[in-house]
Amino acid sequence: MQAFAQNLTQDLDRADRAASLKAADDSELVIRFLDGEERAFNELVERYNGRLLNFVYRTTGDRQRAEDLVQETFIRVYRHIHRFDTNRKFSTWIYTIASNLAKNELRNRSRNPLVLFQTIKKNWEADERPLEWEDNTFRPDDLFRKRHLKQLVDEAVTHLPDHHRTVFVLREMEGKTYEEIAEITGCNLGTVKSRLNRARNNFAQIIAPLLG
Amino acid sequence: MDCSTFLNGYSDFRDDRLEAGEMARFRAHLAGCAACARYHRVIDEGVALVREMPAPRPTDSFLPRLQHRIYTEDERRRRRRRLPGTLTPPALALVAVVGGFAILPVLGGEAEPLRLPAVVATAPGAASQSDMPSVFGSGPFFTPAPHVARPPMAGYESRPASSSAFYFDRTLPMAHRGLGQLVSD
Repeated sequence: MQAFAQNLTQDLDRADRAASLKAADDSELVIRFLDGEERAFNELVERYNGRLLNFVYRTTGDRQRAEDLVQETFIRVYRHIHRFDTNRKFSTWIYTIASNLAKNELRNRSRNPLVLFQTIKKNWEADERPLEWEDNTFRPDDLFRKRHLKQLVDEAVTHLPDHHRTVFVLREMEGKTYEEIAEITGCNLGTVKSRLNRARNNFAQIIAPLLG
Repeated sequence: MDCSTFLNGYSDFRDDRLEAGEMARFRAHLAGCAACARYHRVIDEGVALVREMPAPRPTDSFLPRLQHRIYTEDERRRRRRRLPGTLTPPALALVAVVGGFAILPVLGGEAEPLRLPAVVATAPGAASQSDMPSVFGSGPFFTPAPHVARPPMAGYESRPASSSAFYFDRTLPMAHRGLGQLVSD
C-alpha cells in the first residue's frame, strides 16, 4: 500500500514537471536545462523540430537534407546553449542557426551543382503539365484544382532567388517580424524590406497566370 | 499615387507598417486601380495557399538519431575534459601533492643518506639437503671459488659463520658478486 502511494506520488510529480515544462517559455526552458533538467531540452526539440524543418525545407527544397540540417541546428544549440543570452528571444537564435546552415547548404550546392532527383521530377512534371492544362475538355473539380494549385504555388516559392525565398518564408510562413528577419538573416531592416518586396513581386508574377 | 509608388511601398502597406495617413493613400489607390487591386488579390490568394501547405513532419528516426548525436556530443565533451590541458579539480590536487613531495628535499636542505639493508637468502642446498637425496653423495653441493671469498664489508650485516646462505656484496658488479659463495656446513 505504501509502495503504491509512493509510486502514485512519483507519477504525479512527473506529470507536474511535464506540465510545468509545457507551460514554461523558451528562456525558462534554457535556464532549467542549464540547471540540470535534461527534459527541458527535449521540450525545446519538440517545440521547434517541425517549425525548423518546414523553414529549412522551404528554403533548401530538399526534404532529407532539411532534416539533417535541423539535426545539426539542435546539436549546435546543445553545444552552445550556455552562451545563449536568456534576455534575448530563443526562437530568433535558433532560426539564425538554421538559416545560416541553410544558407551554407545553398552556397555549397551552387558551387558543386548537383542535380537532385526532386528537381528532375519537378521538371518532368513541368514538361507534362501543359498538355494536361491545354486540354479544354478537362474540368477538374474544385478539390483537385486547389490541390494542384497548392503544388504549383509551392513550386513558385522554390523558384524564388535564394535570398528572397528565405525572407519570404520567414515572413509569410513563419510569421516573423521584420526585425526578427533582420536578426536571423544578418541583414539590416532596409535590405529585409526591399528583399521582401521583390520576393512578393516575383511570387505574384509566377502565380498570377495560375490564379487568373 | 501612381502604381510604381504603390508597388515600391507595397510590403509596408501589406504588413501595416505605415502611418495612418499613408495607409489611407494606399487604400485609395487600391480602390481606384484595377491592376494594383489584382496584384494585391493574387498575393493574398497565393500566400493563403502557401500557408495551407502541410508542413513536413520529421521522420520516425529523427529523434533517435538526434539522441544518439547528443550522446556522442556528451562523450566528446567528457573526453576533452580528461585531456591534460583541462584537468579536473581532483586531478589538479593530486598533481599539486605529488609536485610538493618532489620539491620538498630541495627545499628542506641536506637529505639523510639512504641505507639499504643486506639481502640474506637461505641457500636452496641447505634446505634440500635433508629431505632430498644428493646425487653427489653427502658432500657439499658447491665449493666456493677461492678468489671470490672475501670478508663482509663494514656496515653490512655480517654473515654468521655457520650458516648456509648467499651473501651479496653490493659493492661488486653483478659478474663478480659471490654467486659461488655457497658455503656448506
